[in-house]
Amino acid sequence: MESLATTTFDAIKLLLSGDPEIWTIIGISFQISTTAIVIAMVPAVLLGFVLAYYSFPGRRFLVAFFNTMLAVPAVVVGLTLYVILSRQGPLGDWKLLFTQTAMVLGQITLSFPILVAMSHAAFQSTELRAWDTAKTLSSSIAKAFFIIMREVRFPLLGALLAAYGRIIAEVGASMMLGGNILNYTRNIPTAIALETSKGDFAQGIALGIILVSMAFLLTMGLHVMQGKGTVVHD
Amino acid sequence: MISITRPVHLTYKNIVKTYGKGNHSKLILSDIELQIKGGECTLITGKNGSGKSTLLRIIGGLLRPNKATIETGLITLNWKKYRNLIKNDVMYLYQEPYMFDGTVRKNLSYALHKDQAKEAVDKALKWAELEHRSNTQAKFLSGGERQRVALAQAWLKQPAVLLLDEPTANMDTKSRKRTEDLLSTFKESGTALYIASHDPNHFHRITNHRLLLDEGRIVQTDTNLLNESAQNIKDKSDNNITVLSKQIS
Repeated sequence: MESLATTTFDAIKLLLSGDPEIWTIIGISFQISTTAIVIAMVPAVLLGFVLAYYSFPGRRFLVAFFNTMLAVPAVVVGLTLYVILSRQGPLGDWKLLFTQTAMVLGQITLSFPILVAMSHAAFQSTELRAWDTAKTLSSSIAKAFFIIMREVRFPLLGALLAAYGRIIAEVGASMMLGGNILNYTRNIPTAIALETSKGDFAQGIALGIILVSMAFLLTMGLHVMQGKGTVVHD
Repeated sequence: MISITRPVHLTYKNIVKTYGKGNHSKLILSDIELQIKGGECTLITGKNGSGKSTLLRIIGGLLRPNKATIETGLITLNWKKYRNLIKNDVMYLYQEPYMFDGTVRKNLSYALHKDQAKEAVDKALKWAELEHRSNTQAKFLSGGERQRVALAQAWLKQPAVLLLDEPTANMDTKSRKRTEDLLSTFKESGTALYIASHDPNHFHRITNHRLLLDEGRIVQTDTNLLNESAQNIKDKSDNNITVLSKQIS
């Protein structure tokens, strides 16, 4: 216990010291994950919406496919993309392996099914009356879509948080696709894995504190936006 | 943007609707013919499961019929053209109108056209006597108030056809009269009203035509109810209501 307390104290000191290496790692992590989520968000939410409100051949297959993808380990996604992006792979000529772009691709692949499945569930939770009413009131499908989006904004924000939480903390795909290159592709989880293997627990814990703090702040933000967080009204 | 010529005149012939497929299919509507004319109110009545709501949803473009011939003037419309034509001119109100998350004012603002001023919402609140509820969460309103919010949305949209599914179900007499008064203003402005109600006694002050549905077929039609002399209306209405009530029960 004493050792853990000492290491945590060292980790906090390290964070407060403004160590450029650690803050570069944090910056890279947020930059890559935010880029991935921003790219994946719009098409995934649209797909979730289409799966919830439109009937077409293959719809059930797609729903089952994206739900299955939720269970795929990050390292398998990393391995698949590694094979595709490696020099011998079909996209080897693009020379993306061990770049931030490859990491973004990996994180898009990981976050997309979460966003689709959770936004589909969010849209599905509304009544058919809601969609019919939105269409009746609106002069265009786009306006009706935004009315429904507003109606399910909290579950959608929850989906975004879940997807963001998954990709910013995943290590398998980032390690395989980014290569853990200092000041370029080393992000929080790959740095934690590396520092822990070297026995430098303070830096690992410092980065862990950042991850947990971020998760807490995002969750609190969502909670504040939702209001009192109760179904009872005065 | 294509839109309905007003006053609206739509003719529907041979509407057929089944649910399910193959041996499990169930005939819901069969060989329905009707007309919609601007400024007129038609009451569709019949017992539960007779097909009233399904018919309204088809007219509202929310449910595709298996078969139907739809005409406006001399033009016959296929389903896709029909839906395109009516999308901004036909409004369907549920028995329990859906209220979106937010205040009454916010819910009304969804019905605004892009060229409509925000002050129109204040006028709609006043029209529906909901000014005191403008900042109330719409989901917490009573059934009667929700119906008035939905009517105020319709008032903002000014549809050519307003379809109402059991709009006064579970309302007390006062609320029902208030709803009827609001509906009569739509009629006066040239909107065609189609109302589904299980009770043939409702809406007699504004009803021009009455259709009785039974097992998906129109089994009785009363027309021009408001054009006859007061005594005739009373006699015919009382007589028909008795017959209809017996048939429904």
